[in-house]
Amino acid sequence: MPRFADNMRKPLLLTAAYLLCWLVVVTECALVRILPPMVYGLILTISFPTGLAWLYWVLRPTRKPTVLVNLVASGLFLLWWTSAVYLLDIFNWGESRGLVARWGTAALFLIGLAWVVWFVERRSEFYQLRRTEQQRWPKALETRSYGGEHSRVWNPLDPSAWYFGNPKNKRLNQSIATLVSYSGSFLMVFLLLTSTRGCQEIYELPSGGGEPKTLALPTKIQKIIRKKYIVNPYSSILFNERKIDDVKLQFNEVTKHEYQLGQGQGAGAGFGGGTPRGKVRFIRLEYVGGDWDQDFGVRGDMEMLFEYGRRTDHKIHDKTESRRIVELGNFPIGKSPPLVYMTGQKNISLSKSEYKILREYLIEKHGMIFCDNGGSRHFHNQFLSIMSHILPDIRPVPVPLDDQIHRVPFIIPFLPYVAPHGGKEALGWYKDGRWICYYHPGDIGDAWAAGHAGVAPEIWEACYQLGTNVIFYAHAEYSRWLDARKKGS
Amino acid sequence: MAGRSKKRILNSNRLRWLFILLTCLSPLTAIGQQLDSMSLDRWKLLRETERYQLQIAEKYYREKNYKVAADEYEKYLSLYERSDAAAYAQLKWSLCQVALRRSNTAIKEGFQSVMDYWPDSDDAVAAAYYIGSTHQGMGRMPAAKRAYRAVLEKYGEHLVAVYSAKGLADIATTEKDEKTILAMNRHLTFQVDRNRINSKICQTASQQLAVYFFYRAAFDDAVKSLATTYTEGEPLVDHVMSYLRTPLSQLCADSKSAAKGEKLATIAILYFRKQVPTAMDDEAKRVGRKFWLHIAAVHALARHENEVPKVYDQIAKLYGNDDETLTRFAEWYKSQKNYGEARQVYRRFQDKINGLNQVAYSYRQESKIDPAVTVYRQLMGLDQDNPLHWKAEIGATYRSADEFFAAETA
Repeated sequence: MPRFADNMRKPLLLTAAYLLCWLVVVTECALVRILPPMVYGLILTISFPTGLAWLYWVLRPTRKPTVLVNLVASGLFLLWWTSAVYLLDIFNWGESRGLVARWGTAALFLIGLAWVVWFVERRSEFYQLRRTEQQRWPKALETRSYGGEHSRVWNPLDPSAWYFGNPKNKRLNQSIATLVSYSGSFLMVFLLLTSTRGCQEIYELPSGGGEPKTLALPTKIQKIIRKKYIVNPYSSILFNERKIDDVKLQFNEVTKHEYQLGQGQGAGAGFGGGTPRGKVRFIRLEYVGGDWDQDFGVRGDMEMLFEYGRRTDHKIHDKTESRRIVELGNFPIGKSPPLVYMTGQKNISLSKSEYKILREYLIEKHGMIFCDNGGSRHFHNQFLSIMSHILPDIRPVPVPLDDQIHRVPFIIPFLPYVAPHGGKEALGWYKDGRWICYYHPGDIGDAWAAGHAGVAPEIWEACYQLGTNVIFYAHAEYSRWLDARKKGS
Repeated sequence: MAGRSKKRILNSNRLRWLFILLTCLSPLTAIGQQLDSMSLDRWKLLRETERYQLQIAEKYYREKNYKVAADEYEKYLSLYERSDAAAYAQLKWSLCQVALRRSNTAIKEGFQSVMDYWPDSDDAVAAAYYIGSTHQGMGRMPAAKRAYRAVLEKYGEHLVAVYSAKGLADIATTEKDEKTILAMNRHLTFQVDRNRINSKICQTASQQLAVYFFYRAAFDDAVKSLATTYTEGEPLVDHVMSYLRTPLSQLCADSKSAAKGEKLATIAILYFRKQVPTAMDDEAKRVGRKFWLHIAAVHALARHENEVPKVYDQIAKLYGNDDETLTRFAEWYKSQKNYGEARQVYRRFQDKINGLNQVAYSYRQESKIDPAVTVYRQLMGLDQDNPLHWKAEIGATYRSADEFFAAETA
């Protein structure tokens, strides 16, 4: 035993130090995230070789106790799973992150359940054994009673507890009680962790200025001077003398637009209410019950953000992000995201506080929701239902094709869609002179993603244009609101 | 030759009848015209070429091919700008734009143009209303309200005023603006001359107003609003009862509003008592019984448990008992979970077989299998024409209690 301790002291100390470091990095990553991505990548990646080393140690033929193996394996699962989720998040593999997080939670539930069952089973056997011994040698164990015929047992680990009912079904009832209480506790912890808000954060628009106008396609005037024939002036052929300026203008070359796209007065394309550090970000809402992470991240909505930057010359963030609805509460008024994106095709399950946060975000923080139906009529109904809860005094209306949102910066002559899951018309919620929610019924996110869901080029191009319009509209309206607030104060 | 002349006479007779029919129907067609259609009088003023072009556009509009229809209306406007139907073509072009989801264009370049260029035409009135409805369709509620109010002020007697009032009431309902809802419903109920086109809107408004008044225990006002829709006497009284049910029940269910509910119930009972005919002929008895049943229903909704049996006793005294009245009485006992008394009432049925059947069924509702089976066996003896029917009921009784073996034996 002393030899074991001597051998293991160094690796144990090293592992403990690493785990401490890992914990600090994970907490920092969850709450603040100011370190460079490479630091996170390095610290989190080390967990894999470290874990493998411990796994090798525990599986060596000399190490026999199964419980120890299982304990190490369970701990490693937790370590690897958390590291994988954060690594995928840092390197913007949003969709995979969602997948790993979801399945990992399910696996964690099962692993926890296995441990609970093992523990309860062991304790039950222990109590039963003691009771049998007590019946056999009552005097030897008279110092402690384990539920005789007349005493009431309260311990839930003892299957003879009185509240497990009929003696025939006591074991079954104990198992059911264990399962129910474990599931309940797991759910409570899960809800508690997912409803924590985190620290305050800010969203700033890119500074600049410009006009919220439709992008014209100006042409560069190219002078083509006709060739002159030089002939003998004494020739018998008569030529009409041409004026020097008689040239034909050809309007055939599309050039860069001359004005900046934006809102307010400032240098460069951007927004009057912005700051030099500000960037246009694409934030997706995470919600319980469905696949919020459809086409998320690289090869998904990142393509849209990139296209937005390319088409408007606005500064954009280097990756798309996601936030839980409760996290929207972390943004202060005047520094909150002008637009959040939401998609999916399954259920949307929101709590009362989430409804409240969303209403506050839309009304008080001047935000806007851009929702895309990712694939079902059910999602359409769900979304309309939650919006009727959030904004009971506003009814959705079809967004006109000649509205500003469909005309600036690009004219959208028809609503482009991949598949009309929720109809063929975009719906909007209009309040106080602006759209506070834009609902696209036909999976626009699929058209943005790599491969463009196989739709025709003119459709996915129109989808990019529509996406650009909605993002620009939200930011321009937000900037206008910031200006008005400044003037007001 | 003779045959041909006879045929001509027949044809001329038919034409005469057709002319008479059209003359009789012309006021109706005048009333029936909608905002988006042109009167026959105006059609008849058009030249053949104009009519032809407009009909082409109308055909596409009816087929909901709005893009082509808009082009055809535009063509009409450019060809026949001075025509009598130019305003109409502009209006329809604007409606096509609305259908094509170009609502801003419709308002700025369509409806507004109709109002500016043809201010005295009927189409300008319609355009004024459509500006409001288009704004409403775009979610611009303040602009919609402004437009509707302008229409109400300017064209108070026109059909568009009714539509505008309804639009304002709809917006107010969404915004939970009780004051406007009340004002608009009052306007539609009491101030609008009803005709075939607007009566439905006015009727709905009167019903909504009545319910609003019932919730505020303003019984007389509610009756007045319903009286604008239903004729005095039995129809009105029946509808008063029908619209009273939900408000009375909800007011009495909540302890905060119970006093208001009690007041409403007292006035309602007095009203129904006053309506009971004094004559005792068969028709008066039928109506009287019905009104007394309304009184019993009001007592039941107001939770006057002691009063309900007294009212049914009064009905029995005045008009004698019939099975329908007893059924209602027993149903009330059942709603109070007093199955014993309900069975006593069922046993008083004139139709003994039906009465016993109800008794057995009430046992089944209480999951008392054995007494139910006993009553069904009694019925087998009484109703010797249908023994199998009662046997099947016994089986169903056992099955409802999951006693499948007994059901099979039965």
